Amino acid sequence: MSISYWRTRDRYYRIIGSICENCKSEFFPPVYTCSKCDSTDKSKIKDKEMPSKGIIISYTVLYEPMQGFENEIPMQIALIQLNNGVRLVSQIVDCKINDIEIGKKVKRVFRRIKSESKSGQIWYGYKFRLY
Amino acid sequence: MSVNIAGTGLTKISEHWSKSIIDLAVMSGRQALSESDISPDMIIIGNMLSSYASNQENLGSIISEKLGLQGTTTFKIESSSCSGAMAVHIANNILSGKDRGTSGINSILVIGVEKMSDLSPSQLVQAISLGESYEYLQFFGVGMTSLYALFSRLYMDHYNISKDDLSYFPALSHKNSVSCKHAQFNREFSVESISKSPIISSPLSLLDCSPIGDGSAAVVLTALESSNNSDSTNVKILSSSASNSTVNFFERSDMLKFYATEQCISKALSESQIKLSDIDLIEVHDVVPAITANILESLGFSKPGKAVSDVISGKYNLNSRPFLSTSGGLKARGNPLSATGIYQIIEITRQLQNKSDNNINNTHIGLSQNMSGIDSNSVIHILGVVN
Repeated sequence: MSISYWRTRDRYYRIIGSICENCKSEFFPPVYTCSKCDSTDKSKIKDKEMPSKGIIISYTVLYEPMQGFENEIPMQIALIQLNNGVRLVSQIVDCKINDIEIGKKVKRVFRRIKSESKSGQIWYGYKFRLY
Repeated sequence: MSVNIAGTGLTKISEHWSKSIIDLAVMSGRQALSESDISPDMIIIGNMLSSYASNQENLGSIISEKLGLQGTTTFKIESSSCSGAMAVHIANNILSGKDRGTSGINSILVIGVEKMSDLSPSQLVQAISLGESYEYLQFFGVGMTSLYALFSRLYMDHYNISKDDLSYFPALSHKNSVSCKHAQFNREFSVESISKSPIISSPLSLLDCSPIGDGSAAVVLTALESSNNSDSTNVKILSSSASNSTVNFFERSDMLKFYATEQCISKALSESQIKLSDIDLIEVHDVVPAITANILESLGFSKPGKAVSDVISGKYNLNSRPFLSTSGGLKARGNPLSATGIYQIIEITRQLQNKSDNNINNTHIGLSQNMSGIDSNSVIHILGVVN
């Protein structure tokens, strides 16, 4: 687990996705080939930091947690469209349940995601909050 | 070369505390073998969770040995919650292939099995989400239920459909499962009680979601012209098709479009030369109501945004063709992931043979649709009676 977290840390800390230099399409999670222009030239796919702002296009309040997220319940989760059009799913923090609505603006924050155990490694990554 | 369904077997879907994954697979496998009276040349197991829930792999060898079958080719197929239908699809391809004559494979036993009840509630939330991205969803605590919920809200908002109206689908499933002996639930629920049940992941309530259960279902497929079950109507696979799409539904240009299912139905109808209007009964991957509605629309049985008004008006009940989920579907019969696709195929087979617990007379053609995730992979079978 620790190694796989180390491998993806940039993706988790700053939402590093991909850009196709051929057609300028952006992607998150990162891609191997461009599905928009079908470019097969791997050298055209570069890392790209995604915009930190976007809007909520769907949301849910989860009451059945996955293992390791028991303390987050009720957990507010949203489908977000970033300002470049890329969509991702993330937890929304620092707001009351009734504050979440479709169309509201959100921005990226750096937060603790979960920990291995009480004395184990802590994993960090992106979440979003209303602004 | 046409492929016949020569035998079927299944267990009741339930929390089988006293039975292991192997016990369940052997139960359904034995029934199917006994009904067909065929010794298979190949055994294919459809399964998703054996490593996670039972610390067991090599299911093909283990289950075949316990069935007393040795000297055959055996392996497992995994494609998340459509592993069962995918295993039948692969078996059908092998049996109907041009080079079958030289392969010596004439009959295949396909067993779908899933053991889920050994897991704790939070392990189960993860288990049903294993088909989604670990790095970008599971890692953040986002599982299958949350994704169904996000999709459901998009569907409801786009077509202006209420949560109460969506509850007509689970209500229909529970009504149909009352007389089905192998269903996990044999009771009805009112639309209001479904809609008002506790929220699991808004807008989804407990009774919107298909339940957790253990189960196994098996079929013997044969390319031999005359199968031995002469007392049964001969049911044939008219088409078997599979197609995939992006794993994340939210990466699709139109998030409500089930590209895989649309491609699959197009291939299935063309291969079988069947029209939608010829189909008497359907089994779909009715895991939560908005997904059920979107599948029926993608298949073409309802117009976009109209599946809910269609079910409310009675289009899919047992008095109106096409009959939907005649033994309760995933929602009420139960959803032991990799076994589900084979339970669907068996329900259609038994309806066509007039042997279903909830029998409807005079049916000739049925369609089953099984999928993983939110249309990341879709498998469709069209079955028909051979006169």
